[in-house]
Amino acid sequence: MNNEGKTILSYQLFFLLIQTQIGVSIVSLPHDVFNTAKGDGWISVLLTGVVVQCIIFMYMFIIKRFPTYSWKQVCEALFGKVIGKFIVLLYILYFICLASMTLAKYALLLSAWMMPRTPSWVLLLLMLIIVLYIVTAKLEAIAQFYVLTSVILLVYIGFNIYAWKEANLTFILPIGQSGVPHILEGIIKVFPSFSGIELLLILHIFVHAEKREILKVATISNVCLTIFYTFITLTSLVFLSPKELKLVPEPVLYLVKSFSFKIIERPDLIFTSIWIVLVATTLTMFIYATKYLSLHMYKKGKSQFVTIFLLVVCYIIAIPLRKVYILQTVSEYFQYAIIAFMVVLPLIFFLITFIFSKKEVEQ
Amino acid sequence: MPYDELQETLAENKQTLEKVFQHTEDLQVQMMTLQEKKALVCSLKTMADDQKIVQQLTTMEAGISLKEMSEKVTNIQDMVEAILLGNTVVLVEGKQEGIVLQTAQEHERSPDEPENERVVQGAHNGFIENLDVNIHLIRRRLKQEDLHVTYKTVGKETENNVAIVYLKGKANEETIQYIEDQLEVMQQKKVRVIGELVNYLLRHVKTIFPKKLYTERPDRTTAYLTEGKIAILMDNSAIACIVPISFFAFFQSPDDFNEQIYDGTLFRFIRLASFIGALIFPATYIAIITYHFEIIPFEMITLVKNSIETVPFPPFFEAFIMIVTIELIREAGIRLPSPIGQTIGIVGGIIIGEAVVTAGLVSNVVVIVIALTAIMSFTIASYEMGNTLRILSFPIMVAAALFGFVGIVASTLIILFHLCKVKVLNTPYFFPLAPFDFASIKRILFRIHRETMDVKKK
Repeated sequence: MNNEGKTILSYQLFFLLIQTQIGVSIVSLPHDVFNTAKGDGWISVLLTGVVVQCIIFMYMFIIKRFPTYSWKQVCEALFGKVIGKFIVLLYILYFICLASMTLAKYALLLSAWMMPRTPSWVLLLLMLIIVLYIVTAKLEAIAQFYVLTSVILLVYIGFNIYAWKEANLTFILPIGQSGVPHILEGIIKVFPSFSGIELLLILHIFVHAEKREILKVATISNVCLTIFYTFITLTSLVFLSPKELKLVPEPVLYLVKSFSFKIIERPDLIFTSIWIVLVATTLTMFIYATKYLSLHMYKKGKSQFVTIFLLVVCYIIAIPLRKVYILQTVSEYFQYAIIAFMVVLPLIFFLITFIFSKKEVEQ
Repeated sequence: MPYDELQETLAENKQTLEKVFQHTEDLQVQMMTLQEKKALVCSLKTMADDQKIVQQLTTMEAGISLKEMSEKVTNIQDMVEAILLGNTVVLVEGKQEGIVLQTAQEHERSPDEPENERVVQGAHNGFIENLDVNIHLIRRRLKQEDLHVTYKTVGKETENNVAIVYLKGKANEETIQYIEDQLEVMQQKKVRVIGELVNYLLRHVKTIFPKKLYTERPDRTTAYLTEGKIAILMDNSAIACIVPISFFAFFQSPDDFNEQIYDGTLFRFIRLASFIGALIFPATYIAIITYHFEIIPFEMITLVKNSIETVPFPPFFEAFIMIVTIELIREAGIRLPSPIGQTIGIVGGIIIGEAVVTAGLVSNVVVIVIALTAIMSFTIASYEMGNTLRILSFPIMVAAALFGFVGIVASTLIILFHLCKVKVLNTPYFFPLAPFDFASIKRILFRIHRETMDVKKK
């Protein structure tokens, strides 16, 4: 695992980050944010982008201090062997949970929209087979693959532009109607959609570029992602009335469903099925991070077996989660875990590095 | 008797020879005078080339280095063998040995246009079974001192000459070294056709897609050589094998380069689109009929419904029957002489297709779908890529029958990732899409040439 070397190019990192971050929640994002911030949801998304940009700067500070250290080495350098290992273990658990949540949400959504009669454990199995095939390859191949699959995002943008034909701007006017507290609260709801940026901490050692370049790429990817999310949210907000939005948990799919063309009556069926590509790319990166961290922690173990083991664990966790109410309750709590691992823990890292001016030890 | 030494008198030798050959009538034994000595010239009329005999006898008569120029035989056995190979043996009065002249007839096919790689316009010659002629054809198009040819002998029982042809400086040195090392190993193995050789070279590449490109066209070969690829040719094989190759090479034809950019690009995209189409079209039909009937537009629903209502089978089985039928027709027709092949096509295509619909076994729609798929699969110039396509379409059909559109997306996702992953001799197979290289995409997919681009810059 260690000697995989710097195999990713900087533009590939861009797609790697974007594809990881855009995942299962893209179709439900407008609904989630509408529930708290109403018509100003898009401002919450924009603000989240700004917050995430600050997080990226924080990450880059840590990365610059430890340019060649792997994540485990950073943890151990800052907290000592025992606590460092414990923190890595926490991250492994976090990524497993993240993957399981994604899986559960995927199964739930797919059986609601496309395959009501197929048992959802079969759908989970299908996704895991895809992920298993992708994740056992080298990161280089995965990165190249993500560049290609990004074409799908153009389909999303295309459909959303089409929706502006029937936009009703009064739904979001007046801007700022829901008040600053609600808009800020919306940020918490948007945060899970940005999860995946923490992979930057792990992946940066594979990128064949200067650290300055990495910062640039991460920033560009964050700006693009924020614009993309804001656009998607805004489209749903102006297309669907507030009353509809309250009822529809997946506004993006609903929006596509309302179209019909001369040759395709239900474009949402195609739309939903290509959405699984986004799910697969997200999941793969989470599993990859877990696999990387666990192989790194226990130097032993075959990569194949570890991957299969991790996938089985995710499957077992995802099985009970795939009920609407259970998933809702769990994700309510889990969004704080995401904030903890995305913001709070790296913040502690940052403070320790900054205050004690820790640095990489030259070998 | 066969190991008898040659006698001094010509008459005795002649008698023995005629006895050994059972008085066959194509044995030529002529008495003549060579350098003022009586001599017997023996050869098989059907194996030896008359012109060569005359030419070499004239040389002998002129007395030029008679002793060094040819090998000698001293007993009947060797002499018979030499004659059977098409050589001519000259026995001279008073000597107990015969001089062997290399006069074997050689019949070569003329370098005609290959049957399976026709072009509309352009060069119409192709490789033949003679290695030297093939390399001559390449050299004639590529008059460069950088063109490097390395000969190797492979095969334990049937020794075959293999030539590795590449442009020095353009081709990857490590790859060449690897190929040469592997060919050394191949000396101990049985090699009958060039495919065995190349499959052994590329045995570490695990993929269902064709790993090497066979071509019978010298123009195509030279085009790849200038791109830095390596061509492997073998004696008695009329094909050049190009390695390392990328996926998109199978969708190119020399025709594209003769035409304007617009039509060349259009045809290339038609080929690529039909590859994708042939891959997922039957699966899409299965998915729509099994799961997503809603996707059919309102105006078409009655049409489709009427057509499939009476069919007793599930859509997967229905499509499967038709695909198997088409494969049978193809496989039956492919090696038959063309008049019979046409009959098969008519019986198979028209009669079976019509009857099977009239009988209500399969629907009209599925016949249209499968026939279109078959035509799409034939637009791909490469035979191997066509085979891969046929093999791959089955798992996608199964996935579509199980999961509908999601199954199709999932299986294409896996195939796409597989393409990203595969490397042939350390060269990415899906280049220029993975790794993404915009400049090469313009060149390979849109056929905008570097030269034309340079001109534009000026």
